[in-house]
Amino acid sequence: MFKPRPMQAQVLTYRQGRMGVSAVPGSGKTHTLSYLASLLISEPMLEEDQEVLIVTLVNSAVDNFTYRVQSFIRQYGILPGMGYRVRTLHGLAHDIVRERPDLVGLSDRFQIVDERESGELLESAALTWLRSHPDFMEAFTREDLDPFQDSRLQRDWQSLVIDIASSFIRQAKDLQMSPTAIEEHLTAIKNPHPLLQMGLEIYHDYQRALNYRGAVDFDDLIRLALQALRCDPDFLARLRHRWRYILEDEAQDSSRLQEEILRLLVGENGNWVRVGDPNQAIFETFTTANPAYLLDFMQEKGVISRTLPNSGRSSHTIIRLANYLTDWTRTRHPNPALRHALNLPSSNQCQRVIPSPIRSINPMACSFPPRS
Amino acid sequence: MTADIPLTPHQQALIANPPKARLFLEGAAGSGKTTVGVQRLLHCIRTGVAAESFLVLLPQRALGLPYYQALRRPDLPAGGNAAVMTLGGLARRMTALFWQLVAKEVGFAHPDRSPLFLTLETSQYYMARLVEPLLDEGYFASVSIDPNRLYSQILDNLNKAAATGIAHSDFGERLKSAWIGDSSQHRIYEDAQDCAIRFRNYCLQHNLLDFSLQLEIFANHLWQSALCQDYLMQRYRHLIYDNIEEDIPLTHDLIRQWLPLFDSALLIHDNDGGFRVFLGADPRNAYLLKDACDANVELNASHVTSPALRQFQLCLSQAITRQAITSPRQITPAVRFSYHRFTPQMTEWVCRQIAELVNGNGVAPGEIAILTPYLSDSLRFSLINRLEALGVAVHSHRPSRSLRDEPAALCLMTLARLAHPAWKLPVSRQDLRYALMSAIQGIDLVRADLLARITYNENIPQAGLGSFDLIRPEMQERISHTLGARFETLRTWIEDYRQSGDEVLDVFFSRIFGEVLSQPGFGFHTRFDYASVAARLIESVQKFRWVTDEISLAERIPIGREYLQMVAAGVVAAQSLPAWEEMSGNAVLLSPAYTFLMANRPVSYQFWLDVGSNGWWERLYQPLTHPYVLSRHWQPAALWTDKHEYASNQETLSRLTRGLIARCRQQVILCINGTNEQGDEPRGVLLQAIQVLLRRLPAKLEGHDV
Repeated sequence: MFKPRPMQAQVLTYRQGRMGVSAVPGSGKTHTLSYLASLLISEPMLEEDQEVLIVTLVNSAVDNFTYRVQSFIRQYGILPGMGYRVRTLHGLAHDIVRERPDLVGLSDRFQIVDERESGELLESAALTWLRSHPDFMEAFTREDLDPFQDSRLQRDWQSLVIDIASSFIRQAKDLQMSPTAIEEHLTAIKNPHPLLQMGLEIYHDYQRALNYRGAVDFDDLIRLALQALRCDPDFLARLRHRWRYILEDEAQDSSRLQEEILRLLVGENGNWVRVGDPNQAIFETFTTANPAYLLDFMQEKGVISRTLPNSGRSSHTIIRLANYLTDWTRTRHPNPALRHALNLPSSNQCQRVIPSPIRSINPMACSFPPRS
Repeated sequence: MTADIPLTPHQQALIANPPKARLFLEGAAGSGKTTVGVQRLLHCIRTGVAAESFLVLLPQRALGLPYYQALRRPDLPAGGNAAVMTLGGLARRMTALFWQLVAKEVGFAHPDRSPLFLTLETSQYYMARLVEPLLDEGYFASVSIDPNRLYSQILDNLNKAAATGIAHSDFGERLKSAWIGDSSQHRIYEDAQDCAIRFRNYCLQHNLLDFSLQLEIFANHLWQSALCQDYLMQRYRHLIYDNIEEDIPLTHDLIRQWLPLFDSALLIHDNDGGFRVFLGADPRNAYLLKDACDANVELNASHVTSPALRQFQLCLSQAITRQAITSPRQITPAVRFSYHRFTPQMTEWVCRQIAELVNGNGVAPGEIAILTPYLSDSLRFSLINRLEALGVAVHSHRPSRSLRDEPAALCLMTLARLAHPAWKLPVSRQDLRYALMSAIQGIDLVRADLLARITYNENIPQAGLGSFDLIRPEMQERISHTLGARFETLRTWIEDYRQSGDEVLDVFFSRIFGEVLSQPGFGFHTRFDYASVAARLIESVQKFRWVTDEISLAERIPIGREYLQMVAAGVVAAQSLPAWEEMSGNAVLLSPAYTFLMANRPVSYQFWLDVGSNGWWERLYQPLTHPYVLSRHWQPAALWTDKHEYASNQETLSRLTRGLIARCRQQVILCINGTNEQGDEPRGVLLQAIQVLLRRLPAKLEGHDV
């Protein structure tokens, strides 16, 4: 039987509206969120064709949530797996697209190519492009070197072109731009940079290869899910009805597209709980993830702000060190531009220490040090 | 459904009714309507009405099985036979007969030459020839779809337009105006329309008649001709039109006009039917024919289902449509629920339950059906393997399974590539290994692989197969001399054939089947299913050859090579003909749910697998076509939104489940899997409805990880 701590209990009183929860590492947010999901599933207001949607970051967390929610709702006589759905963003996007593939120009048998396969398609498109543009390597290589004679240089060039094309395509898909749309933009520019032209041509070729296979890649999934939600208001309304509650885990790593998809699914008056630790944004450097989405959300009008400040995982000394680092970064970092990189708790955050259930290891826990 | 059960007085009266009136017979599935149709046909023939004056019209050949079987009875008077056919068959027959009358009027470039009737696969072949070059020009750039599906959807648009009475040049605009999504997608409908017009023009230029053109010619030209009408009136005086709800509106229109001219007519309507809507069926339009008849009779008492099953039918329908559930506890004896976390657990449980029913309770295997929304190769394989291991006979039927997926067809096609080196079609060692496993009786994977490695060099395919006699003695011992002798017979035959220089592929298939593969010691000798596949492959090649002769001559392409290439590319899918007769055997039937419905054969036990799949609920999503927008009931200016989608899917699921339960005598076993074959967690609408029922029942959930 789960006995929540006071701050966890506060989170568990949630029944509707929007709530943002800033949670420190080890504060039991997965357990709390799972328990909250089970409470919502058991509520009579959740109709039999409705679900609590939990969106998390990685597949291991999906399994973790599923197991916990399942163990909580076993008592309600609900079939295993019913009443809730735990998905990563890609999993959610897949569900949306799979439901109405025709809305985004796919057939019901569309395939998803994995990273290896999409890498092969990209490599093939990039190498084909290089072969048909032999002057490209020459134009960008030092005059005293010959890329056609030097096999190592040639390999470097190939790898570079593949990398550039990969970034170009990913960025284009993130911006929801098809090859045709980019082509129109480039036509408007008088002398587009040759790299842009290269990226476009490889993107065209890569996308054609996917189309020929009736397939999409992971980036397409997100893009197409958003497209499907935008193009048919009735479809969006149906999904809003189905996912009456959306609980978002690791919201500090929410990306722009995730934010857009979830905002669409929640709608104006939907129920959305976002839980995360703004100081744990680990995807920020290599994706469009940004903790600002969570922080801004918590400042929005009507959003209930809660904290889970008590860590039951780390020792007291580790917590003190972490808190010191936060404080140092914010007040004394030699580069002032980086002083906002870590965040202080919101004003209503609990600062006092409370007994932990694992007293022998970690007798007291408080996430942030006192300012003085 | 024509079970061997005593006829009710009501049925007897209908059967004995003098053949003078136009009768509309309606009722639920299992109420004995088709029995009335069949028995009435037999009664009339026995009482002196000429059999050949009967036209038995059906929306699909498979539904004609009870009529075919009845007409084969030895106790019928000698003489002519009733015509059992679809409108497509009739159109084709009439077009062939009155070709000279209409060819010029229709616009064929060579009315003096014979027409060439295209099958689905040959239509697809010609469509591919026309569309493939256009793909490089940027046609269909914004859809992600396998080219073969693209060709078939363009053809589907043509067929649906013809079935509905929309001009072949108008469907694109209709699809465009109903599209709610991104406007850039309009282009694909324009492309589809353009390709369809090109295809039609090509057909007119080369005397090719695809299904849509056959329908249009019959409806717009032949039916309008007094000569043709006179012929039809004189030939057919009595009509039995069964399962009218599954037919296209064009047939309904023609029958409405034709009805007053028959001496007698019996129109049979299943009130729960309409399963072929996605193929253009129009049950609403069918029902309007009731007004054109002299009398209406209703049969509603089911001869198949138990009261508990009828209650389950009602409760499930209420759960699907979110109505209050009435008396759910009454369904208990008719339903079992089982949950399994993974698909292999589910298949194992199902097979054990079936083995228990067959071996323990004495249930005939033919009284059991395993039904799924889609039947994948892997599920099919695992269920068949396990059931056979448990000593239960099983028969799988999946119409969409193509011949190229059949081991026997793959074997024949590999041997054909080996026997025709001039065609320069590659044969890999793996191909050869699998071909030998099918061709030589008793050979296992290891020995087949050894033979393939030793006797064949992929880099020198023109050298053919090496002799078994020339390989090292220790290898001969490993492979065994018995198998070696069989291999040598096959090799020598192929070598002799190569020397002959023959190139007619269907003749090659016939000869190698008859002279080698069907002989003792070879893989096809005791395999009737292999023989059946061989027969269908030969028929497919023949039909392909008949309609591609002109191209072959003009472009100097060997037809056999073209056929094999097209099959390999999936363009010619070599769709298997439904082997309906095989379904009546005493074996557990494993098939997609819709196939089971169209076979119209009730069973005692139904296992519904993958209940969580959305495949029970949703239509086939095809980006280039749309069954509802191309129907008569669609307002051309309206937008197709998700509200329409939801309503039609709800209707589909209700109809499907009602139809399945109506064809079950004792029990439905619902099998829920937590994770499906793709690793997804299915939670479709049917599962939600089951959940609604389960929460109102004391029923025990069986299975794994419950």
